[in-house]
Amino acid sequence: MNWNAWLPLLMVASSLLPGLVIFGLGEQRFRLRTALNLSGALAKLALVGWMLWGVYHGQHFETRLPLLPDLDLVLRAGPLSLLFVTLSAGLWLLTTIYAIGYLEGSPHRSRFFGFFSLCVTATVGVAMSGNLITFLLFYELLTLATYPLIVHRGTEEARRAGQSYLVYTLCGGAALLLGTVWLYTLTGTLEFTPRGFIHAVGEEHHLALVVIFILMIGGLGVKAALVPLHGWLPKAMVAPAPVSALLHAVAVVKAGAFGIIRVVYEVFGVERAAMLGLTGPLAVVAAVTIIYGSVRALFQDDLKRRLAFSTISQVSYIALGVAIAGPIATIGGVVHLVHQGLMKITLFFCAGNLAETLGIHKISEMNGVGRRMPWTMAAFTVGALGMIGAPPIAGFISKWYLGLGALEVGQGWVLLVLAGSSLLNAAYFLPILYRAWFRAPADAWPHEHDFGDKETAWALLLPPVITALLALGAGLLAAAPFSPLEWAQLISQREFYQP
Amino acid sequence: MSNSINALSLWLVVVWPLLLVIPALHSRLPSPRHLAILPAALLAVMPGDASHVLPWLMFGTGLSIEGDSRWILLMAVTVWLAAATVCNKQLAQNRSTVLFLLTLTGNLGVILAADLVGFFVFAALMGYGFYGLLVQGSDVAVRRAARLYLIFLIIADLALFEALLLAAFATKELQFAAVQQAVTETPLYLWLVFAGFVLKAGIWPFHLWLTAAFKSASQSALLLLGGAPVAMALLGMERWLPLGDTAVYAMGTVAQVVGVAALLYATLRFFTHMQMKTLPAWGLVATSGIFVAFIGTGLTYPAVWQQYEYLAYPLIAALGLLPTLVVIIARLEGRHQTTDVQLVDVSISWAAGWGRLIQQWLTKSLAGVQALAGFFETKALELPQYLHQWQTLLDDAERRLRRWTVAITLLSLLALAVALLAIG
Amino acid sequence: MAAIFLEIPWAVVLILLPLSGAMACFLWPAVAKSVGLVTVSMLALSVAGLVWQVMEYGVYRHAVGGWGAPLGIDLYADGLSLLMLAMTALVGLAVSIYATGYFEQPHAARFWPLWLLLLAALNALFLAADIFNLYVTLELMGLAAVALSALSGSRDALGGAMRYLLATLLGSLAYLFGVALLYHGFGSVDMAILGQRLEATPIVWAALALMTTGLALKTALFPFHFWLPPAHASAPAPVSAVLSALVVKASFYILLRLWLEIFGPLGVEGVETLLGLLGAAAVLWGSVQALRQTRLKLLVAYSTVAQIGYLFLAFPLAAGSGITAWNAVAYLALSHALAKAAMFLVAGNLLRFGGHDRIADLDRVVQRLPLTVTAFALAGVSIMGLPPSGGFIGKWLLLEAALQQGRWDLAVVMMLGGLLAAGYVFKVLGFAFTQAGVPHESKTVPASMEWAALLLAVAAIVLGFLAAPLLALVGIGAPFGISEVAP
Repeated sequence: MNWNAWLPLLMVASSLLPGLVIFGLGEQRFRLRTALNLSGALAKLALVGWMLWGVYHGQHFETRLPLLPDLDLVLRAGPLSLLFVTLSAGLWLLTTIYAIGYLEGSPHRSRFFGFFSLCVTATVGVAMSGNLITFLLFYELLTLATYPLIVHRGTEEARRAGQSYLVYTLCGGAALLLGTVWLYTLTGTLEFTPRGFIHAVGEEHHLALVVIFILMIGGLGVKAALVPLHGWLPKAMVAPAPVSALLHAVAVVKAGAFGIIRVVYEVFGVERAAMLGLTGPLAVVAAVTIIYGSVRALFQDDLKRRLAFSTISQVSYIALGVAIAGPIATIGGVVHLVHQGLMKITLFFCAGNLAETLGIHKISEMNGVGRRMPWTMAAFTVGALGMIGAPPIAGFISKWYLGLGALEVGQGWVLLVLAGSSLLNAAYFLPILYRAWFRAPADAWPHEHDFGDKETAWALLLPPVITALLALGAGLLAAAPFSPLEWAQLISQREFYQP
Repeated sequence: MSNSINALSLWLVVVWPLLLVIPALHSRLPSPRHLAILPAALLAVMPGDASHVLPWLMFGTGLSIEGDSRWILLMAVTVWLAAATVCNKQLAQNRSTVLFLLTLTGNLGVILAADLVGFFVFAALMGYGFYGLLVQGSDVAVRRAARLYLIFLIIADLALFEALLLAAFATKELQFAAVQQAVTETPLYLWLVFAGFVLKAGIWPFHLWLTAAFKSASQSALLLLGGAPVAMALLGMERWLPLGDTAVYAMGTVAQVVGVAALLYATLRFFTHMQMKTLPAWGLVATSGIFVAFIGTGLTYPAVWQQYEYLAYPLIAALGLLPTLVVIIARLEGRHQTTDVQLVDVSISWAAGWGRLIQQWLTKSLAGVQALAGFFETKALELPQYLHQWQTLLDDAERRLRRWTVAITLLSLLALAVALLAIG
Repeated sequence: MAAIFLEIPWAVVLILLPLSGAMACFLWPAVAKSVGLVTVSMLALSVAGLVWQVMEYGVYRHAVGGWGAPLGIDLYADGLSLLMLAMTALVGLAVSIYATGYFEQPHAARFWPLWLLLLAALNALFLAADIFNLYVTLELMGLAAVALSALSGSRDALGGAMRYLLATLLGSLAYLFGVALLYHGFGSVDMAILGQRLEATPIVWAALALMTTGLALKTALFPFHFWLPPAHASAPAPVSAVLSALVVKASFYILLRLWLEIFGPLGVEGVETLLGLLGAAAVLWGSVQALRQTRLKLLVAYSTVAQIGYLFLAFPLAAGSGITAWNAVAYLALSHALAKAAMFLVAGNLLRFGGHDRIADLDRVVQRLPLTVTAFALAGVSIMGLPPSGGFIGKWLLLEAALQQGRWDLAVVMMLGGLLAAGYVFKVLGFAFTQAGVPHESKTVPASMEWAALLLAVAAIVLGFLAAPLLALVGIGAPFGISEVAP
């Protein structure tokens, strides 16, 4: 195989190999472990950069290995894959730095970072997969790799959260497998093709296609936390903050949403899916999830749980953008993949900072924290305002395109959903900001760690600030070349019929 | 050359205060608040129109200054200078400076914005920043008023966002002139814009927060009340609505009615209570009512508007300066008045009561939905317990299978079955 | 040089080598360990040689003593036999390495001869070309297996072994009757010849009934699985591994061969449906029982019962789906052998370390043996049918066969089986991450034992990527098509 065929495989290996080595390291080998982690993350980022440059110059990257006699394992670099891979690689580097700072002194770090690397391997595999069976392979691997991260702390609560997670995700995986095999028996191929590959399936299989769609979206919807399959997400908050950050911004939830994008656009084809009457119900489910998640978030006092429900709500924007089935709405849904990732990971990093530095877990304990930790709360403010949709942060751009897209296909009711969601977001984020900035602090923080003059450790402070700046930049410079928005526009063009 | 100077002078007005937000910078400079207003002051006195667009910023936005908007810029500079001078003696902390600078940036940006998106972004910045200025170091009454202001602000921003989307859908270019021409066919846009700016400006009957804030807000906030939220909202109304082109009877009539009612109400309230401290507040309500009526007339009779539209900007400018003037006069006279808190509390708590009711209803229905969502999961996790209940049964069955009599019987049955099936 | 290697009759070596090894171990017990290990390593090499030979020359048929069929004994190696032989060699090698650490004198002296005898019987069984030879090797294998499971000599072990003995004899007896009937009816015991001559007569039906029943009993198909759990519970860990991985597969292999060569062409759909039904029941019953167990070895034993059921699900699917269903069976059998053996070796490690195998108390033990836990996790992935593993490939192929023919019932049973398997695997794995209480006294586990388990589990995972070449290998000689006519 030539170099172009090796590159996708190397991309997957760049986190797999360090991960396997880290498993074997003792707890005390701090330096070696950090070195392995960071070198893996940087190597992956370098490979991503190379691939971007290559694709920009018209090169073709594809790894193809035989898996079954008539199905291959395919890793391919296309615009959608590259979008997700760049997001994953960049955020993995930041989360690694954060995790190194966060877990300092905790037990079982080698085990943690080993599974952490496996998790990213699986995510990159999901992103680069070129057909449904490769996707399925890495998707299930993701489930297996994230379970040990959720139960990492070893408490009874963690074990039950892990159990709940497994029940949901394994059932989802079974549904996805069933749907995939069935589709394979109908079409004979599983390669992702722009505008779908089910053209040849005749009219008599109409019902079968509908059931397959339901099975697949159901299986993917578990990870994407569509109501009523979202129950595992709030419980999984028991995991350490870097895990929540990674899971909710980059890996698991995004993999589910990414899968929905792939299935609707490159398996069924959005126009065919609309003809089969599948996109309407999906839009309704997405809308219900958006509102339900926001309403539940209103009543949570635990900060991470509030953020969890906010995630449930926000990721469904992507599903909504997909289900509206218009070119502009597609742009909105796809670009929100990136924007939500940046904003949500900022929020989780900040929540982790508060817990680690001051022992704050509840919102009612957050009075006046803006004075004690200004940079952290500034980043949190940027993320929260972005979630509300305040310009010029990235969330505004996504909502803009979703709204325009809804108008384009005459689905005005979506604007109401967007408005309601923004209102609810404001209702549960603004009180947090108010408490942090405008209330006087209590006498003592629940559990303060001393960092001297600094606000908190560098490794904990830098990542959220960087991601907040990126979220701001993604919105401010949305019309600049190479912005996520422009990328999403490119992707949207490929999926619709151009006469 | 002159092009780049124009561009620089325009953008500097907005960028300079933002730069000063960095604590390291503004703690080193003397009187940073005054310094921040400097570029704006310079621009206001510079002759000639200017405009500049940055295509890569957001969707391609820009700033511009033309003849009439100079009035407003001058008004803003004056008001902010006054506010900066007043609060120099008060809390000169980091946070209040940051809020001051952010709100200032928003205000200046609103005046200079050349298209709808820029206007919206800067208005949002200004609105939220002003909330911060209101709330800072204030008592319970003002905080309640500020909360009401915030709620109105959020709803207004939502309405304006939807209107923005409608405008973007109708036309590609979002400059004011282009939008005004394109949206005359979309009544929803007009209503959304009207509602949004009415909420932002505190027009009767949404004036509660305005009058409540005037009771005991800090001096600088009082000064800014006219120039910032109210004046800018009226400016927005003037720019976003298609005045002078076609007649829009329904909305025009409503606007006229609201404006006149506001004027009447304000006059009545003031004269029945007669407190000097509240004069600026009611004066604002009255004047903004006059302006709204003016707008309404313009919507109903475009010809009239074209005749008198040159009055619009000076009116807004005067409105902005009103509280400043009155406050300065009041300070010079040195009078103190008692506050009248109860009435305000009642009205605000009425809104809060409704809010609580909705919350209770939501909680109840949520419990129901939650039960449904958790149903699947609890059933699945209860599986081992179900099996436990069947334990004796299963154990029993296994034991039975183990007995030889049973096994041999089953074996013979199987052989028979296979044979029969093979024949059949 | 290479040519010489190709000319050695590897098939004969595969049978004679372990036999002589067994005798050597019996005569010189002091060196039993080394002799055993060397023999098994050579076996692995011989299998590799045979594979090479078959890939070069095609299907291998060798007349022992120069006397061909229908009078003499033939050795026959096509793709399916090769797969089974390779499975035996791999599992055998890992178990032998494990056993060097597990057994000490005097047990070792009794283990090695019996073990090598078992291997010889297995190899001969997979190479046999006529049904009487199959009986002989089957009986030999059964007796060796019974003796091995009684090795520890405790009362429970003897009880379990006794039951196993009776079951195995009963099954073989039924099979023998069937052989006699066929011989009486058609005058030959060679499978190829029988395949040609067979017609649908009452004799054939009776033979079919008897042979199916006997083999079903020996393969522990529901509801005839009652002998399996007790035998496993008290047998030493390497013996349990061999029982579940290899011995039950041998009788299944015979059933498969009979079906493909002799009975299949008769068109017995009713029987196929019945077998499928029993297989589905086995999957569900075995999984549910496994979920309930409190001892690890019993949990794994019931898991075997469930996995055997999967193999029988292919019978109703074979007619309509071409070779997809049979390919699935081959792959499932192979990956199950590797994964199940790994699981039993893990159970042995845990037993050695903590002195017990109660699942509820495993958390104190499991955290001190990371390699062992990893082995269990990887083996569990294959058992659950999650990618990437051999189990996933087998499950995919079987699902494909089922959905192609619209057999929803079987597809649902397969998915349910996978989910229940996840239930009992994670029941054990959940303890790997909890905070352990007070650790109690432990004995060290030799590295050879831990690594043997881990390597088997890794092999099960690696199988997930070797489907294309392996299935091509299995296809040599078209075992799933119409069998070749013997010269």
